[in-house]
Amino acid sequence: MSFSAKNLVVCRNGNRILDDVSVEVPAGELTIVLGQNGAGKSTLLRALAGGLKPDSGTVFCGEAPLSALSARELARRRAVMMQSTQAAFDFTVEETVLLGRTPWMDAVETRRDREVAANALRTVGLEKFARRRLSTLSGGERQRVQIARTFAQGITPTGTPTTFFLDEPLAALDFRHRAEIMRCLRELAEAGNAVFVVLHDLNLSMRFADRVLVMDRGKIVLSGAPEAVLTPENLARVFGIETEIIRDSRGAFVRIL
Amino acid sequence: MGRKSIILLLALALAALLALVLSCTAGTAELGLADIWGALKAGEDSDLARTILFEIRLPRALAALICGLALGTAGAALQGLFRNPLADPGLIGVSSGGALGALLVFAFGSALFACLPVAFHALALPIAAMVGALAITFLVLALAGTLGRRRIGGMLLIGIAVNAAVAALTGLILHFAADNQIRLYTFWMLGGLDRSEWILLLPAACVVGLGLLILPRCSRELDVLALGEAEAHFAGIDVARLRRYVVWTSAAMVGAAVAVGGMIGFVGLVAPHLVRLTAGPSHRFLVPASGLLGGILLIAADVAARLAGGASELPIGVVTAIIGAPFFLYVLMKGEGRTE
Repeated sequence: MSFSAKNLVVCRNGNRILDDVSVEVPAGELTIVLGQNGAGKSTLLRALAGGLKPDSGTVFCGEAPLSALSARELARRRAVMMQSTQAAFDFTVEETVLLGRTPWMDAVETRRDREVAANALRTVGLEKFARRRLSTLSGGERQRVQIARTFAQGITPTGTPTTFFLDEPLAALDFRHRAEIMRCLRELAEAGNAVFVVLHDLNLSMRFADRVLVMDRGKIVLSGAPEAVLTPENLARVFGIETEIIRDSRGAFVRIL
Repeated sequence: MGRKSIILLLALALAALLALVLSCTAGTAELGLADIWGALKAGEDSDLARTILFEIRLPRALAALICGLALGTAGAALQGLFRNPLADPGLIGVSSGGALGALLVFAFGSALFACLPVAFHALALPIAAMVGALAITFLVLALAGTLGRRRIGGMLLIGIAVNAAVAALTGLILHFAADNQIRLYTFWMLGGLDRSEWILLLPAACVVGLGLLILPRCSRELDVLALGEAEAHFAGIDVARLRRYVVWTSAAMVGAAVAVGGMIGFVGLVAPHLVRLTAGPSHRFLVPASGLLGGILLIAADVAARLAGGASELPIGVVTAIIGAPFFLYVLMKGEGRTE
């Protein structure tokens, strides 16, 4: 059940934050969205995920427009991680990850929910932190808890693929965990899930993305395979940076000059 | 909920029951546990004990329990809804609305109710308080409905504005009221359970009991809401529906408590805090445990009010505020219950 959008327009205070955007989030692919601050990346992610109503245009989940689905039905088809999530109360790590299982449970979590949560915690390397309270964690660790919660929500009981939307999931992470989370996202995509990530890292995009979307002033200006999109000419035009592409046996990377 | 939580809840329920029985022994007339047992068995010789127990002590103890349950449960649920451990039931307009309703009876009651049967007079005040509480809550909710998507945070501000407006209206009525009316209103505002009668307790118990069935069912969703309104929506929560459930149920429960005991502050604030400090913030435990703890605290406060004042007892609102206000400051300074 993949997500797509047709002719999305979102206006705030007279500005077109999304200006006639049409996009697909195909299953089995890791799509990375790049763009300068304020280009409309987060707005696009939230509109696709059903977190805001576009002024015009429609978002579809499969064939159905999002408005035809209840919040719970939608939550079983996609999991979302927002840029910054602050829990108002001091839950434990395990409790927080289990919150992601809410759309799948009746009133009480089952053993299966606990297993999924424990797996998700292992994926982000926090299995030893399960009983710790959020207030005792560092910023990066808390962010990994939210990533784990999002993973826990996207695992269906039958194993059917879902869609993951993540808005700058790596922002507070150290180098090792940035790479590890990207590998997890890659694995999710290879398992047939659709993964849609907003990122600010050219090299991770080059290395992990199936497809890169570049946004500028509310429009998708470039899209395609990373090596085709992330060329010095395009990067100079959209980001105003001077770069060179270096290739070796393991692939290409971008050096910012 | 783990086994440990269930045992803790049972222990709290047992403690509440114990407090209820023990509080029946407190008062000027001697009434020991043996007398209570005798009165319950209804022997011929225990007529006096029976009268004291069933006409005075038990209704009063039950009133304290009902009010405490209502305030604690609603307090926990509303703090969850507002995502703020310092939120108080007064924020949704229940208290100011109840006060306005009561004041209308004190000020205009004799004129309004002159034509009604005498049996209704005793209920006029609680009914007016309840109606006032629900009416002002409705106003707050309706105004919040006109806001955009982020309604819960805005609702808090609307609650403050509406409370200020209601307080102004109350002040205006007080300005023109007679001295004895102002005195009656003042004492009512301080709270007291000395008016507890069965005819009032039974409907209040029904309202509070219904709330005790509904609010714990919102626990899971309140847990998710702690992450934020947008996050809760993404996790499949119908936030608007949750808000309606919690606000209306809490308003009805607190309204019933106000009708029975007048203004009793701080229980709805303190009970959830104590639970959160000892057992964590998960609402599945927090909501029922706060209710039970609220009941225990209020029974204890009522006993203190009865014993401390000598012949004329202290208003219970004074007792809860004397304990509650320093605690509130302590919590503010320590910044407990909220992640940095």
